[in-house]
Amino acid sequence: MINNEIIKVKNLNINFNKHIAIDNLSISFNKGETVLITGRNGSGKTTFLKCLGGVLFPDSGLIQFGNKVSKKKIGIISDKMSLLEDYTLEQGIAFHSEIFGINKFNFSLINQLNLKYERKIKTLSAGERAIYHLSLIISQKPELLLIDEIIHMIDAYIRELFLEALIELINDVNTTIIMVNHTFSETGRIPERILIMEQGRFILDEKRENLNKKIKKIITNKEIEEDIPVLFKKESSIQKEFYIYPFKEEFNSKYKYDFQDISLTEIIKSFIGGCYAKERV
Amino acid sequence: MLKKEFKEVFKQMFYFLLIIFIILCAEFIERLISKSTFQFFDSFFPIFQFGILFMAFFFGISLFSSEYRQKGTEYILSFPYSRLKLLCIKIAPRAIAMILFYLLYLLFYYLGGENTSIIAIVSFSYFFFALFLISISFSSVRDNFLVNAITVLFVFSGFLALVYAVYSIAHVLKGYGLFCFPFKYIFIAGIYFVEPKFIFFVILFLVLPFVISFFLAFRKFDIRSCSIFNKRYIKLFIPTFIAGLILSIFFAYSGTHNPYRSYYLTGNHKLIETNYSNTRIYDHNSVIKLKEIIDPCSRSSVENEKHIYMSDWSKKDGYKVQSYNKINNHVETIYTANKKNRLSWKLQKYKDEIILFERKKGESPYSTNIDKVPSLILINTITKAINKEKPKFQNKCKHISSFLFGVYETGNERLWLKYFKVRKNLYQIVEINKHGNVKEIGKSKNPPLYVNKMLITTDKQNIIFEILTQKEKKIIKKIPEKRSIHFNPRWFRPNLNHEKKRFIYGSVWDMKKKKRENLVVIDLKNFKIKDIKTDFNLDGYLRVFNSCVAYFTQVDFKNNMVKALYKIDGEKIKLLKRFKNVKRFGEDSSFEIFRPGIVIRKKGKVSVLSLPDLKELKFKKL
Repeated sequence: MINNEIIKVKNLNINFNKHIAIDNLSISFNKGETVLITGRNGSGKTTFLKCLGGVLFPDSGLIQFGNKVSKKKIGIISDKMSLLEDYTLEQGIAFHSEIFGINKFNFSLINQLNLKYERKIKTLSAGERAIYHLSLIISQKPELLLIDEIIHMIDAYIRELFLEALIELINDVNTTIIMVNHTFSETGRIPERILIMEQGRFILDEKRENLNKKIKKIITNKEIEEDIPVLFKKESSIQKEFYIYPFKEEFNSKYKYDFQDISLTEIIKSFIGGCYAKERV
Repeated sequence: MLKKEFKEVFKQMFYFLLIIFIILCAEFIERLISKSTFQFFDSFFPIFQFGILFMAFFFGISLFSSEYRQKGTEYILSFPYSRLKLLCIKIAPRAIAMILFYLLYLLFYYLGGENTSIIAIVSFSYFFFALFLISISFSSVRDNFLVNAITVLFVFSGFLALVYAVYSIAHVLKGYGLFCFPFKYIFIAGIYFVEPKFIFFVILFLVLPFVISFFLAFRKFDIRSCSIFNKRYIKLFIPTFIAGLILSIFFAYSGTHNPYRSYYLTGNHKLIETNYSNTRIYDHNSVIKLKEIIDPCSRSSVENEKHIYMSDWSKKDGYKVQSYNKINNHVETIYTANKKNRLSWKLQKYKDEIILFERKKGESPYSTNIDKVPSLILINTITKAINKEKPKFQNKCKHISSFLFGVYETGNERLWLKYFKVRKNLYQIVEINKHGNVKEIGKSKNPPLYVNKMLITTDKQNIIFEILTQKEKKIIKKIPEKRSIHFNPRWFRPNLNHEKKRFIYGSVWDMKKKKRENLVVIDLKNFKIKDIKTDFNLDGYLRVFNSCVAYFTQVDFKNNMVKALYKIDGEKIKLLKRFKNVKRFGEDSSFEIFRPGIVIRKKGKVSVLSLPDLKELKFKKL
């Protein structure tokens, strides 16, 4: 492992009976990186995340953690936000602190929501539960934080609290955050690396800043040249939209099209749309 | 996490013990109201036994049920523990609880005394822990407690059937024929066929595949559907099970001993061989297989010229008394007890009557509570008429080692003589008339005898001979004797008839060393007591079959070997035969003396020698 790497995944395979969820996947993540994994439903995002969190066991392959990463410093908030529901918040905090060796618990998030500690976990709403779970994880001061599609479940106020807490964590502990979500809008400006997953593999792995340079859109009413790589084509009676990937600077001089910049949300949509289109063919 | 698990387990333990305590109190109150004595082993102990068996099942099956119910599986799998550590944390408190339950069970057994067979205890222990381990191994079949519980019940039933099959296979492989023990006695069946230390391995190797497969499969346990875990479990289970089964059969085979066989030599020189499935009658030119099973050797039977009588039990009839006709080999049931009652195994005879005791199942044979004193059952062997007499004791006292030892008749009245042990070195003697009235008539230091119409008792200084009359006892002789002499009343007990006897043989015991110091004889003609001069070790036992001759079998108790047989006639003792490599009892060996001869079973081979001449008796196909 290279010094800066916090996780290295080699030839990872996970199957659900006959369905291949993760297909011979290899990737590495650096310390302090914030990563967004996205992709269409059933592409293997959650499976991959749970595998990193130790909740799923790979059928084959290797997941290596950096030398200094203790298992106590890995936090996972899954889409199910699994906790022991019969506990009160207070009992849950005590139990979690004991398991993960937390000396000083961070109550700030819970206090901001005015949650009563004698309430049972099972009585919390999805948003409250997300904040409570995040409080538990933040108190671990995790070196690696894995968050599965929970951001869209919570209201705007709690989401802001949630994201603020994440930013604080990045600043204080230099935590590596890997989150799975469908859109950028909910995760704000946090992710710096974007991964798009399809059929258990990553089909896009780019720094956020490079993405705009690599994907362009052409709007025309004709077909375009065959040597322009089309990721996804959207057609209507008036016009045709072509999403070009990977875009090369030479295309500007070679063709007379208007290669337009597109938003990150649209980039992801085009990738996912491309996947569906490919499957239809 | 360990703290949480302990808390959870001890909470469940507390509830269980609370329920047990409530049952105990309810039982006690019910007994108080009904004014009957509380009988621990009849009512409470089986409930407790079933309760802890249920807890073994519950603790095993509920290993992860709390997490499943709270949807917290994913949460606990994200803990900084390996899967094996997680499993150990979950199992450890439950295993400790199991051990505590088991210790409590042993304590209750110890408190309950001798009424429960140690065989049942040992067998229960094996299956108790087996159920716990099997339940654990099925705790993750599904994330549903009920489904897992039903699975375990099926699997455990299969496991019991498998244990039975292993015993059967070993039995057949050894060439002993088909295993004939009823399946419902599976918990104890093995003990009768396989040496107990081997049974441990038989069960261990059948349980281990479940445990090993579960532990190995659990190393990769995750939140995927249970079918993936189950497939992995089965893949591991099949080879380990095959290996375990082979080892289990191997141990069952190694430990299976020659099947139970008992032999009884009748007065007309027929040999009765009994095993669990049938009875064969051998004589010098034929062998007959009886339709019925009779076991006069182990059932303490009585014999007269034509018949042998013994009590027996069968599922269909319950307790009954059988007669076997020695001439035509006909077996007949002459008395069947009420299904709620049981009969004593020991039979006695007086004139034309067979005497035995009948009492309610679960009640003590030594009870003095008027309702619960066992009834005397008198069966007339000629008319087949049945008479029942119920003794009425006035004073409550603990009756242990209680026996009928004589009958005397005055005028028209017949009185039973009975003794029971009050405490060490004190036996109370009572007479019981036909109305059941009980009268105390004396005491004795050692068990008394009634021989030649004389009551023979002992005190610290003397052996006392008395004649009983309707009003009083009349001492006819006192022999000063300070030594502790035991006249084994067993010789006289089965036959209460007044057959004239010339000698009584006894032993002088060193009570501290628990060793026979000397053999003595009392000549009933002149009431003189004499030591029988011997120059050999007196470990062994005496048998007396007629009025004057006794046999002394010299035994090496330590090595369980029969060394020699001596004939005693008055003061004279004569060596009849020395034996080599003859075991007193064992898997394929036995040594039994009967009135007409000796039956020796040595490594499965049976030989019969007549008494007193020791001529070999030949039997066809033996």
